[in-house]
Amino acid sequence: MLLARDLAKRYGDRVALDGVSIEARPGEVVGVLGPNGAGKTTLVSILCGLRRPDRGEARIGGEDPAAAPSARARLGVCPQEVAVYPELTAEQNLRFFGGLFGMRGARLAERSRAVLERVGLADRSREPVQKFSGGMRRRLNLAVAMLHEPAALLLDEPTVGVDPQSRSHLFEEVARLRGEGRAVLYTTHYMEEAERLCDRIVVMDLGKIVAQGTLAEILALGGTARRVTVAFADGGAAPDRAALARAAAPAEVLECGPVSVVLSAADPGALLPALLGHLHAAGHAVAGVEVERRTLESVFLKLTGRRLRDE
Amino acid sequence: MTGFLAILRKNRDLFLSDPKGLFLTFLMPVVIASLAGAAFSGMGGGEEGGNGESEARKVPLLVVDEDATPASRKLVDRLAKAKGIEVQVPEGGLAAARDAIRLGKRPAALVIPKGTGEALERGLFAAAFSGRKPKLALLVDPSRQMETGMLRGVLFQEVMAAAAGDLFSAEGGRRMMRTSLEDVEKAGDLLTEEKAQLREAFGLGLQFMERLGDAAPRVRGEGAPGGGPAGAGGMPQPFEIAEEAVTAGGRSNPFQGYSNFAHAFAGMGVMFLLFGVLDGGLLLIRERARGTLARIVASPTPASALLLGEAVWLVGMGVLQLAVMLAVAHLPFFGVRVQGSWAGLALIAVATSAAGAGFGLAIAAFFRTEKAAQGAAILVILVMSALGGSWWPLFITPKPMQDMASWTITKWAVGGLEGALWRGWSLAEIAPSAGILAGMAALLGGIAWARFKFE
Ligand SMILES: Nc1ncnc2c1ncn2[C@@H]1O[C@H](COP(=O)(O)OP(=O)(O)OP(=O)(O)O)[C@@H](O)[C@H]1O
Ligand SMILES: [Mg+2]
Repeated sequence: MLLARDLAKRYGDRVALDGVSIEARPGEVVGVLGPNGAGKTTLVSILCGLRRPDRGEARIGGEDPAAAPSARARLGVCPQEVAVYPELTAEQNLRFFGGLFGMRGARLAERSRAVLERVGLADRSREPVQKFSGGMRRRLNLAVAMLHEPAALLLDEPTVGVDPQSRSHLFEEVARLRGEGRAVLYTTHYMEEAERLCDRIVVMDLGKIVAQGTLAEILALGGTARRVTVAFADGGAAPDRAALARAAAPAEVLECGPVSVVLSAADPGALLPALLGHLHAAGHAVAGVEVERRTLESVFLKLTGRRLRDE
Repeated sequence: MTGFLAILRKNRDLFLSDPKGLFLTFLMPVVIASLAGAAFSGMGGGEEGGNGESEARKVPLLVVDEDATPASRKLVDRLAKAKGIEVQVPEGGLAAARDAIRLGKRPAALVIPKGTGEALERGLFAAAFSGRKPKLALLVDPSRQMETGMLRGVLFQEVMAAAAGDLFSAEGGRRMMRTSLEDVEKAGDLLTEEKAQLREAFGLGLQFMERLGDAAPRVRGEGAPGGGPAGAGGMPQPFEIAEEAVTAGGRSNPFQGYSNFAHAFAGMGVMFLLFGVLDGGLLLIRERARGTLARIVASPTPASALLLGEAVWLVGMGVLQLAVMLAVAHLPFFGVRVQGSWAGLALIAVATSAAGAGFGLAIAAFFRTEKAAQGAAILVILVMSALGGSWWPLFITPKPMQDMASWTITKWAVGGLEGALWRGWSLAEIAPSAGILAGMAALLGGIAWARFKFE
């Protein structure tokens, strides 16, 4: 449904995209994860026909969105920056954008009501958007994208600045869009979103794809070993390192001290019973166990040497 | 089509969302035009143009010599040599002169009717006392009071000199004394006592002339009084210049239609129309900055529909704005009337708005930020308004400025509107101005289309 093939785009000397290929099939949510400047918005703008790539091609349902109005008609876009008329009411905005997609009359009115309902703005529909809060504007921004029931959606960081409750509301919407068989390209730099929402994830950095696949496939790229930390209650001596290593094998002991021990294990599930049994038998009072969760964050760090977020 | 209509409706919604816009679009122009019209009306009343510029520039005077006698030709030659005016002879005679004034191309025409030469030869005194004065006609454009005031002064001097000139040439003098004597005898409105005195005076004059022979000095007309309708030294003026304002009202109703308000409403109407389309241009730039333009581009509605929709919107708003202006001008207080073709008025209003729309779109195509666009465009609008006659009548400006004015939208728009209002132009007479505006609209629109960046 949504297809980017070997896209390249530069702004002057700056490379924004370099050989990016992505596909989203009907009923599939593809997450594009990348830090600021990775090229996500550039990718979206090419896919919606706003910009032309220097190389490669964009296709919506097999057609070039820059050339074929019918391709654009099948596409709903939620831009990263809120793009609505602040002077107009939510309803007037929807009426205008619906008109651009050839909608009118009863269908337009009915669809406007439906999407406003979905994003929780039904009771504010007759207020000028400039009286909305930032999060409410974002929700309207998304409503515009869904208005004409497009077969494919490009959602460019739709949840930035949206409160947690509205955000999980939006997640439900995305899940519902997938359930309706729509193809969704969802860009974000939030790990949780990509992990929670997306069937497939494309990790981008500096205009290039650094990894792609299902969540599990990508996590696997982060390496097999995970850190397991066991903390002790106060007052004990440090365990015997050699004994610990024998008991924990094949896991590796990284640290061994009076407060905690740290190990690296490929299979923490198999390690834990033996490890805890050994520590208990040696008379150490265990206060807590922490198993490192494999995250996209850590994968990204491993793949690029940089953190995903600037903060 | 749905997309195109959506764009128009969106602009309407945006326009109505801002009450300030309503005020600026409709109320402000009316207020300013009223003030300008009232301010200029204080300038009327045939004062002489004390303005250095209008004196430095020769005022063209059309001369229609219907008499075509040696004496009338002499008068024309005299006028041709006079300072400050430039005598031009219209090809098509009186009708052409009348049209030239009505179309605003010339400020005035002097008509020398049949019999003028004879009356001139009859002489100064005869003319003064017999009532058989040379009767000249001056057709004027009532909106060009500075120029016509100046012309009046020069004409008075020169005609006076022409009438007096022959008195002092020996041949003409003798003849004049004789005809004067005859006239005195025939004159019915003189008392017997006066007749006797004049008879004596002309008799002495005749003797004097005959003795003088060909050695008589030529006296030039320099000393003749200038300005004012009264003749010299208490003597009745020896000639008449009947003035006729050439407007749509024609001879029967000379000043009908012209008022300073007609000019003010046309001039200010066009200037505020340009400010209105500037807002339209700024809106497009704002659309780009806000990302709504990207949304429009990403929709199946083609980009051409967007620009076309904006253009149609701007033309419609321009026409509406001019209509409101003219409706207010039509109120009894202002008394501006449409003396020309209504179809022509509609044509010039649409053409003006189209040129304005082209201007607005070109602004949006040339500037990326509202601030830059606003600064530059306001300057252009003010310069066009000053050059093109929105603020003051074009003719009071120096020649180089008038030449530049042809490049402005305002000149053709204000000129065309005034034509349709008080000058009483026909559709065909308005068409050239409308055509030039349409050309400007096409050029500016084309540039906008070629340059406009949708990203
Ligand atoms: N209009 C533009 N002109 C010049 N350079 C641009 C333009 N838009 C983007 N870039 C550059 O292209 C690169 C990719 O930008 P892009 O907006 O696609 O990143 P992004 O992944 O969407 O980032 P973010 O998470 O901050 O939204 C960046 O280096 C950016 O500076
Ligand atoms: Mg972005």
